[in-house]
Formats: sequence, structure tokens, C-alpha cells
Amino acid sequence: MEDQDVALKILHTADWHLGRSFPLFAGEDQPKLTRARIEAVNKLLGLAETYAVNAVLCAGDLFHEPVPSETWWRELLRLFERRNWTNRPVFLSPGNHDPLWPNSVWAADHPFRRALPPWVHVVDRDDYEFELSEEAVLYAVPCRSQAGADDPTQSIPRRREGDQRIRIGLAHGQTFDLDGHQTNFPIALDAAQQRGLNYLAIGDTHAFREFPPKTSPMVYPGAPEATTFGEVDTGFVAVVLFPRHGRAPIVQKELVARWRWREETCASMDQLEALRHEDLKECVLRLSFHMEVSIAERARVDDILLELKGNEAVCGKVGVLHVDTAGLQVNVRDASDFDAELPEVLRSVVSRLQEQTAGPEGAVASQALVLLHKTLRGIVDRRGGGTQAAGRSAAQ
Amino acid sequence: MKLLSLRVEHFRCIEKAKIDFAEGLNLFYGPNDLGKSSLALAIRAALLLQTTAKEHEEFVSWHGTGDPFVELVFESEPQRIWRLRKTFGSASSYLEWSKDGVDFATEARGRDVDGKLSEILKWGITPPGGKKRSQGMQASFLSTVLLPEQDRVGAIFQQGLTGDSDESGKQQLVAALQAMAEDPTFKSVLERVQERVDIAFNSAGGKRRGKDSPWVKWNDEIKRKQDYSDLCLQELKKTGAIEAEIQELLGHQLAAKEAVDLAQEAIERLEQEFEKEKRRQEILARREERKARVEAIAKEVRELAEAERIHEERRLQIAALSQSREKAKAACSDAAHKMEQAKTDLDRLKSEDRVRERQLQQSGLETRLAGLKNKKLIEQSAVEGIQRVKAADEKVRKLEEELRALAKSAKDAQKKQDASRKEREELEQQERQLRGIRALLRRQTAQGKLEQAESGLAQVSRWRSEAAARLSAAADLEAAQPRFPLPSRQQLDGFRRLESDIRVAAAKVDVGLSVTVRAARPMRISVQSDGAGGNTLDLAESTFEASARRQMWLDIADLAEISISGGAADARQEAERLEQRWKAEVAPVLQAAGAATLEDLTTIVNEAAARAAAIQAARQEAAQLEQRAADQMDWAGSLAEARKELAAVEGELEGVDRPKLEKAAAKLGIKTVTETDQRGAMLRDGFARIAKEEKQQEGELLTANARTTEKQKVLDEAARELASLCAAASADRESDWQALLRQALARQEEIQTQIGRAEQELARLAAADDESVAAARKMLARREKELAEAETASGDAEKRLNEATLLHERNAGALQSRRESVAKLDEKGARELLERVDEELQATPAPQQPVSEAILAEARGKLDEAAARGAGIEGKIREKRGALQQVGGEVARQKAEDAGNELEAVKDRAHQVELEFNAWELLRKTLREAEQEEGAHLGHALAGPIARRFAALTAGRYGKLALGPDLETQGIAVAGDDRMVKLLSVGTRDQLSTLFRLTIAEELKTAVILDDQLAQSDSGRMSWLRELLKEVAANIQVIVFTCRPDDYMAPARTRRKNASDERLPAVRSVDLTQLIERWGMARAGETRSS
Repeated sequence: MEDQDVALKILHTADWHLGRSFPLFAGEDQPKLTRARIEAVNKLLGLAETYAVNAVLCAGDLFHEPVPSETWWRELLRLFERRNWTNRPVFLSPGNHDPLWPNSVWAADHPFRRALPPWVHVVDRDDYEFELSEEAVLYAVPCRSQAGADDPTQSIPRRREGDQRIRIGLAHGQTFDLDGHQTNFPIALDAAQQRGLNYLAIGDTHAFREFPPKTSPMVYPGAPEATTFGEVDTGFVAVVLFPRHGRAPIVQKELVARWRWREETCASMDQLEALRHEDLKECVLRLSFHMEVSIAERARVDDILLELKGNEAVCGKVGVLHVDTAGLQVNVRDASDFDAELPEVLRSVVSRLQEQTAGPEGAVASQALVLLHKTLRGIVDRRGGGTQAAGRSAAQ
Repeated sequence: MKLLSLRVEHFRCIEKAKIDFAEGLNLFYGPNDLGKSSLALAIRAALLLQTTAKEHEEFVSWHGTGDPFVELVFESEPQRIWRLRKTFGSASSYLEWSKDGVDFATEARGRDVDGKLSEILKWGITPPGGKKRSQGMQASFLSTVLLPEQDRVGAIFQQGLTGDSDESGKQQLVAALQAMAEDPTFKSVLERVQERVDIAFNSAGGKRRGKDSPWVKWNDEIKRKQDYSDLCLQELKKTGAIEAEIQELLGHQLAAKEAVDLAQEAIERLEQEFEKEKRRQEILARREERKARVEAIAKEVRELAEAERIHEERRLQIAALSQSREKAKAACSDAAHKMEQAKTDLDRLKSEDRVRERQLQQSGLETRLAGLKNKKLIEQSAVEGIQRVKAADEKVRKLEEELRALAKSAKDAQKKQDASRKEREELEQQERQLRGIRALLRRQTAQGKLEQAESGLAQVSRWRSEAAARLSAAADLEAAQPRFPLPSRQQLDGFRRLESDIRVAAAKVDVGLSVTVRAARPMRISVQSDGAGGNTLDLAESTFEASARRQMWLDIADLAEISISGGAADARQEAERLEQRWKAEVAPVLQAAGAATLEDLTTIVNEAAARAAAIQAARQEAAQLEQRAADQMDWAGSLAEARKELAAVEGELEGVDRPKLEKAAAKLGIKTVTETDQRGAMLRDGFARIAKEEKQQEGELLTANARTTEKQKVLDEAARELASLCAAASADRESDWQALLRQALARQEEIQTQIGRAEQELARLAAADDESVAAARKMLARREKELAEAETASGDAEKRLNEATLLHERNAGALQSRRESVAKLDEKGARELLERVDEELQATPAPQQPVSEAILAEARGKLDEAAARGAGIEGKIREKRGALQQVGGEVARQKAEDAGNELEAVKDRAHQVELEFNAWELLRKTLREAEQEEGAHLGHALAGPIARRFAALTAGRYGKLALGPDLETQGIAVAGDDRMVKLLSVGTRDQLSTLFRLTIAEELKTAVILDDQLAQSDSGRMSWLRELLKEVAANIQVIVFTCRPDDYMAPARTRRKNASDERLPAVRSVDLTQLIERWGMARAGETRSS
């Protein structure tokens, strides 16, 4: 398609959730994920430049809280300040996570709002209207609360007789078809048609979704970075081209996410070993187990987990790893996991603990055996690999 | 514990002995029967036997009188030195203690001594008076280990600690072996586990409650998450409740809307009537309004006429201002003209002609300047030429000087070469003389060897003759020796004991017998006393008395034979038995030796022994003489060699002037061949030195010649270059170069002065032109200022004209608007409208049924009431929606979900941490329990070290020794199975028991005594054990009694010496024959240590 055939190009995004924390993850994994959200915004702004879009529409939940810490809005400001878009307006619309409250980040006297460049606009009126060009107009509705029972798109005026412009709507809410979510800013499935819009840009759901008809679609671009496990079709923005001559808009789904969120349950050592050979640098992996291993294999599991997760000295093979060992059973009945040359007193300890594994404190006794094996291995390693009193190597 | 000294008196075969013990390995040696085992027994008795016990009788001296006495000094721990004195067979028993081993204080006496010993030794022996204490020599596991008997080496395998009479031995071993049981791995594990446990638990096993406690940390975290989750759930609950209320209110809102609709219809009907009246009133009001409009139009027409007049006045004012502006513009133009004139003047001064003229003058000066500079360069070149000639001349002179020096150097080298040649010839002469002297000296040496060999041969012959004489004497003595077997000294001792026993037995039956016989009727009676001849007599009624010492026999004819013996029946039997032994053992020996008594026999035996010693001495002497002869060198061979050497030297000296050579040798002070060789070596050094010098001198000469040739070439080249330069400078070599240089420099300076003057003229020319230009520029600036002022005046006039024009135009616009407005005012139309309203009023009738405001208000009240109800419901809905907005709705749901997930995650992690710390604690407890139980199981602690040593000794043939909890031996692993220890060979069993003893003694850090326990060991294992003993003796005191000292002192063969061997103590070996005084044998010397 020739450029002159395109009347308008927009980039539609939503649900950045800047400032969201990830308490499931510990240590340096948390900042990896929180930083990724800003990186995604930077990437989508870059994409807007690549496509030379005419406007960027951000459909709510851009911050995870209505009053985010300065760290977040300051960094977002920097991203805007790096660009000098005099002819590419950006529209920031409040969502139910960051509603337009008097003291929120969107308030007129908030330092964030005051520092925004003139080409970045905040949707702060229910009857917000902006002429994108002679041929296109934007209608936007902000969220003013965290919950609401009204359809926000009802504030958008209907198309007047003879109005040939491209009409674009921008709102935040949930379509009626989502089970259990009907009461929170419900948006009718035919809202775009009702209001005479060529495109209804909405946000809230984290997956990419496009609702018919093609001539006036309603689109969720989803979150540019996933926020938790189980989310599908996340990590996208929508680049929308509006051709002239009355043709339907073209919706292009573009990936901007860095992280893939993946859940894996290992049922065998082979399956676990196989993970070592995958490229998981950009993966947030939740690893759980459904298998039984010997004590020596348990040590091997620890080795592999260390290899995947890394430590202070070395990066792991997995970008972010969350391990759930609840399903990892250890068979502690086999004494051959311990070295035959173990001193008598330690053999006695092994026997005593094995006896206790059948009792009420069985789990504690099993864990104690694992710890004993691990401690012995540590001692042998420090001595330079002698066999005396050592736990057998799991690699055997 | 370690032993310091032992003193023994009247103890079995020992009359007196005193030995001192040292640290480390003490080796006491001596032949069999010397009393080594008696010393070991004395130590055992001192420590384990009460003096009054019956067993002391075994210690009674075999030969002399006096009670057995033992004094043992030992150290139980540093500065606790004990002196134990026991006299067996009495109650004399003392125990004293000292710090320094010099001043002793009494600690116990009599029976208390043994009680105190039990306490000090802790060997598992109950003190006297205790229930379990046995009679006689006390025995316990540790006494068996540390003080073993020579003939009960394996006793250690047959008992454990269970046989001890008290627990002190076991307690001592447990204390020692528990530390040993702390295997390094176990210890490391325990330390690491304890470190982890200490993080979460206090020393009492309770959970830590401090701020760093993981329990507190996780509990706080859980509580924090729980509170947050509860809060979120509360918010979520509110959201749900509000959403339900909103749904209910929406139903009420629908009913309220219907009521409002009904009220609205009633009002509409009433309002239609009310509207009719209202419209009539409205028409009346409109009539009044249109009347006012007609009057306003008339006023507007009047005001327009006034505005037209003012507008005309302003137009005239603008025309006047326009003229003023034209004048100002003309003045401005004039000023601009003048400024242009000034500019032209300035440009003229900068014109091309002027510039060209100045350039001509400048060019002349510059040409002159260039000529001068060229001359300066020529002069500079002349100066440089003179300097180059001067340098070339100096170079030629320097080369000539160097050439002369090289010629001198070559001459010196030639002289050195001649001197070296002369020195070499002198050395050759000396060498020839030295060879003659050497031959002369060799002849003298060969002559000496010849004489020595002849003398040696004679001596050997004498020794062999003497040896033959000794052997002949020994053969004579051998012939005089008895041909029957003589008893040994031990047998003789036995014979004496038997004789003594017979005397004692005889004394026991030699009680004196007396018999009185009173005949009841006449009878014949025969009597024999003590075996003597019989005496027969007839008795009538008289009394007969007979007596004997030990035996009597009465034969009463035809009536009875009466035999009477003295002493008890067993004494008699013993006497008879001894007599029988005498007859069987001693009598035949006496008979064979032809001796009547044991004394005779002893004399015969002693004589035979003396002869045997003499025979042995003679044979030894003969052997020594033979050996001495054999040890002599081969004198016959030496003689032959000397003769051969002499003949050879004589050949060399043939024709030589020997007296001259002898004089030369005396002059040089040479007396031996070696000295000749030394001088020869010096000569060779001289030759080598001269050869080296000659070579060096030859090289130097060649070098000097080559350099001379080369230098001559360079000189020739330099001379040619000098001649060329002189020609170029129009001078000769002998010119005064300094004067020539001064003249050239003076010319150069003159040219430089002329250059300076030309440059000054050029500068003046440039300055004169600059002054005219400055004046023209000043005029131009003044004209520019005048022009600016004229332009300002013109601008002001323009501005005033523009302002007036703007005001006029603005009023013109307003006037035009007013004209248009008035033109639009339709006065006629307004009057017509007024007329139409009058007509409309007439056409509008008044309502038939008037509706009052009250009726309408009542209807409206009803409507308002219904609307208020609806509004109330609407308000409530808004209120609820507002509330819903406050509580968060979906955000609250997500938050609650997130908070729940976080709480579960924290709980999981806390559970993991709790499980892990509990596991560490359980592991710690189990380690401690096992440690305690395994520590009490002494066998586990000890079996390993013993097995390692035993495996090393036997090259891995045997595995672990199975020891019970109380160290009872259960077996030994061989080829994977346990075998009974008694099935091992005697030697191996002895070795194992020795390892067992040494290991325990090491752990207890106490002395151990080994009474020749390794007699059955082969040399290989003995060698290993010898090294082990040294190693062990580095830590504890080891006392060995042996008859084979070489076993313990021979150098190691099987084990490689290593660095640690250097630290091992030397073996202290003591010859006991020097320390023990036996009955009838004197002590010969002092302790000899090595």
C-alpha cells in the first residue's frame, strides 16, 4: 500500500502497569521484571518511530497504582524527553488501576503532569476530543475510579450525519463477554458500531484481542510485558493503519516483550537435564516437580537448579527462575547413596534417620538425610575430592 | 604414665638390680635366664600385688636370704611422681609422691598403698576390701594390655572390660577413645550442622526469639502478608455487597420511574389550559415590546448624522500629516546623498592607482632586500666552506696520529711473542730433567716395596706356625676331657636342690622313735633300727626297750612283725619319692663320673668346664692367627710386582747421569714421585699458559697490522678530500683559517645591517597610507549619523500619519457598520408588526376553564413526590456506585488475589525454612546421640586404627578387627569373612596383640611393657614393627625386654625413610648383664646406652 493511500497510522498500547512488584520472586529477579516494563515502553515508543505513526494511544493502567513512586513516573518522563515528537501526539488515558483522582499522577498539579512535553496529552475530561488531522478525530474517556458499572464508551458522541472523518475511540474497561467481570466498566461488544467509530482502542485485559467487525474493530493490545504466569498472548502492541477510500483499518500485532513466561513440571531427571540445553535467557520459568529421586539425584537436582538459577558469582541459564520443590520426593531408604567408607558413627546416623522417615517426623528426617548428604559432599569438595566419608556423587 | 626407675632385691634369681627408664623406646636385652622376665614380674607385682599375698612366695630368692623387695618410681602425670616400695612377705609397703622426683612425701602405707594405686592407675581394679577384688595378683583388661606376661601374649584376645572388678578402666578408655572417635569427617559434619542450627535455635534447643531469628523474620513476614491479604479480602467483600445492592436499587428505580410518568401525564393536561392564558399574556407583552422598538429606531438615525460630521474632520487632519511626512522624507534623502559622497572619498583612497603606486615603491624596496639576502647567503656559504676545510685538516692530522700509535702497538706485540718463545724452551728443558728425577725416585720406591714384601712373607709364616701350635694344644686338652656326659650347671643346681629337699624330707621323718616291749610270756624278738643290723634277743618277763631316729622294725617270733616309722605319712612318702628321684637322676651321674658326692661331681664338672674354655680359647687364638695371616696382603704378588717395576725403571735410567739428577732433585727439594708429578703438573700449566699467550700475541699482531692497513686507506681518502676543499676555498693547507673566517663573518654582518634598513623603509611606506584613510572614515561616520537622525524624523512623521489613518479607518469601519445598521432598520416594518400584534391579541380568546396555579402546583407536587422517590433511589445508586468506585471493584479483586498468592508463597517459603531448620536440628541431635553411643562402643573407636596398622603390616591381607563394645575380640575380617583370631598363626597373633597394646597405650598416653613378644616374627614384619615401635615411642614410653636386641636395632629395610623419621627418638638399648646381679655372679659394668 502506498503511503498516500493511508490516511492515518496509530500505535495502540495499554496496561503497562509501571510500578507493579513481583513478590513471588526474590533477590535480583524482582528488579529484572520491574525494569522490563519500562524497557517495553521504550521499545514500543521506538516502534512508533519506526512506523512513523501519527499518534500513540495508551488505553489505561499505565501505572499500577494511581499514585506511583517518583521512580516510575520520572523514568517515563525521561523516555518522553528523549524524543522530540512535535507531530506525533501521545495520549495517556487513566485506567482502573490508575484512575483520574484529584491526587493521582494525572492531576494537573502533579509534577509528572507538569513536566510532560506538550505533545503528550492526558485524557482528563469525559468529553475529550482531539483532531488528529483533517481526516481523523479522537474521542477518549478516562477512568475516574477503580470500579464502575457504566459503559465508558457511552460518553463518546455518536457519528453525526455527513461526518466522513475517521473516528477513533479510546477507553478502558471490560467487554461483556468476560465471565465474572461484567460490573467493572462494562463495554458493549458493539460499542464501536453504536458510537460510529472506525476503531475503538481499549485496555484492561492483558491478552491481545480483536473484536469484529473488521470495519470498526474493538481491540485490546494486551500488556506489553506479562504480569504473571498463565497469561497468554501478552507482550504486544497494535499498529493500526487507516486506508483511505472507506476501506477497513488494518490491525498489525507487534511483539515488544522481552520475557517469555513459562511453566514447566518435571517428571524425570532427563526432563530436568534437558532444560539445561534450552535457551532460557529471556524466560521467566516456574519450575515444579512431580517425581521421586534418590538422595544422590537430589544433589544433582540442586546442581542443575544452581546452574539454571545462578548465584552471586555467575549468571544462571534461566533469566528468572521460580522453583517449587513441593512435588519433589526424595527416596531416602537406599543407604548406598552414602559412601561405603563412611565412618561408623556417620553410618549409624544414616540408619537412625532412615528409621525415623517412617514416623510422624518423616519429612524432617528425610530432609535431614538430604542435608547430611549435601554437607558430606561439601566437605569432600573442600578436601579436594577424596572418597573418605563422602557422599556418592550424584553424577555416578 | 611413664616409669622412671626400678630397683629389685632378693627377687627370684636376682640378688640386686637397678635400672632407669628413659622416654621413648627402652630396649633391655640380655641372654636367656638372666632375669628379664623377673624384672617384668617385679613391676607387675609392685603395681598389682599386695605384699602379704600368698603369691609372693614365687618371688622368694632361689639362692639367698632376704625378703623380695621392689622399688618402682613412676610419673602418673606431670609433677606427680610416685615412689612405690614393697617388701613382699611382710606388711612393709610405702607409697610416696613428689613433684621433682627428689623430695618425696609419704602418701600411703600398708594396705592403703594398693587402694591408692587403684585410684592412680584407673586400670579397673577394685581397691583392697572391695567386694569384687580377687585374691593374689590383680588382673584387669588394662593390666593385661600394658603389663603382659611373656607366656600369655594372646590373653588380650580372651578378655574384655567386662571382667574388670570396677569401672575405672572402662571410664578411662571411654574418655580417651571418645576423643578418638571424633573422626575428622564426623567432626566437620557436626561443626557445619551446629553452625546452621545455631542460626535458628538457642543452646537449650529452643527457637531463637531475637531480631535476627529466622523464625521471627518469617513470622513477621507471614503476619504482614496475612494482614494485607485480610485487608484486601475485606475490600473485596465490600465490593461484592455494594454490587448486589446496586442491582436491587435498579429494580426500585424502575417502579419509581412509572409513578413519575403517570404524574407527568396529569400535569400535561392541566398545563395545556394554563398555557392558553399564558399565551394571551405573552402577546400583550410582545405588543409593548414592539412599540418600544419603533421608538429606538428613530434615535439611531439621529446619532448616525453626528458621526458622519466627526469623520469628515479627521480626513482633513490626515492630509496635513501626509505633507509633514513628505518633508521629512526629503531631508532624509539629502543626508543619504552626503553619506554616499563620503563613502566615495574613502573608496578613492583605497582605489587601485593609489595601491599600484604604493606597490611600485614597495616592490623596489623588496627587490633590494632580496639582493641583500642573496649576498648574505653567499657569504654564509663561504663561511661554511672555510669551516669544512678546517675540519678536514683536523681529521687528517688525527688519522696520522692514530697510524703512528698502531705501528708502535704492532712492534710491542712482536716483542712479547719473542719473549714467550724463549720461556717455552726453558720449560721444555725443565721437563726433561723432571722426567729423569721421577724415574730415579720410582726406582727408590720399587726397592722399598721389594724389601717390605720380603718382610711380610716372613711374618705370615710365623703366625701360621703359632696357630698350628695352638691347635695342637687344644687337641691335647680335648683328649683329657671326660668321655661320659657331664651334667649342666642347671642340672647341678637341680641336684643340689634335690639333695637339699632330701635333707629336709629326712628331717621331717627323723622324729626319734622309742619302743618298750613288755613280754607277757617268753618270746624271741628281733629288732632293726634305722635300717642298721638286727638285734635278736629272748624275752621272758623282762622289759625290752629299743630306740631309733626314724624307723624301727620288730619281729616277734611267730607272732607279728611290727614296722614303726617316724613322721607323718605324707612326709615319709615325700622322703621316699625324693630318694627315688636321687637314685634315678643323681646316683647314675655320680657313678658314671666316679664321684662319691655332689661336691666331687661339681669339681669334675668345673674342671671339665675350665678345660673346655681353654680349648675354646686355644682354638679361637689359632683361628685369629690364621685370620690375621689371611688378612695380610698378597706379599708374594707384591714382591713380583716390585721386581718388575725395578727392572723397568732401570731400563729408563740407562745412560743417565744419576749423580747430576740427584743433585738437581736435592736442589729442587723433590723427594717423592708425587712431588715430581705435582711439579710436572705445574710445568704443564706453564706450557698451557705460554701456548695461550703465544696465540693471543699472534692475534694481536695480526690485528695491529690489519688496522694499520685500514687506517692508512682512511688517511689517504681524507687527504684527497682536504686537497679538494682547499682548491674550492682558494687556499692551501697551511693557511690561517681563523683569519679567513673572521673576514667572512665581518662581510656577513655588513649585509645584515643593509637588510635592516630596507625593511624599515618598507614599514614607513605602509604607515603614510593609513593616515589618509582614517580621515576619510571619520567623515563617513558623521554623514551616517546625520542620515540616521533624518530617518528617525521621517519615521516619526510616518508613525503619526499611520496612527491617524488607523483611527480614521477604524471609525470608518464603525461608521459603515452604523450606516448599514441604520439602513437595515425598517421603521415601516416595525410599525406594521405592531399592528399585527394588535390583530393577534384580538384573535386569542381567554380560556373556558381557567386553571389556577394552586391546581397546577398540587399536580406538580404529586409529580415531584414521585420524582423525589426516583431521585432518592438514583441518589442511593450513585452513592453505591461511588462507594463501589472507592472500594476498588476489579482492582480490589486482583489485589486480593495477588495478596493471597503472596501470602501462600511466603507461607511456603517459611514452611521450607522451618522444615530445613528442623531437619538441621534433628540431624544435630542424631549426630550427638550417635556420637555418645559410638563413643561408648569402644570397639568401633579402636578397631579402625588397629586394622589400618595390621593391614599395613600384612600388606592388606587382613581386614577390620571386630571388637565388641567392651573391647572383647570377636574376630578378624579375612577375604570378606570374619575369622577367629585363634586361627591365626602364633607369630601373626603376637603381632596383632602387640598392635592392640600399642594402640591402646597410645590412646591412654601411658607406658607399655613388651616382654619379648615378637620372637615369632619373621624379619620382614619385624622390620615393619621396629619402625612402628619407634613411631609409637615418639609419643609414649615403650619398654621392651628381649634376648634378641638386633631385632629391634637393625636398620629398616621395608619402610622407606621419610622426613618424619628424623624426628623419631633414638632407641635406648641397655645390656642387662651389666645391671642385674645374680646370685654368684658379679655385675661387670655400667649401663651402656646407644
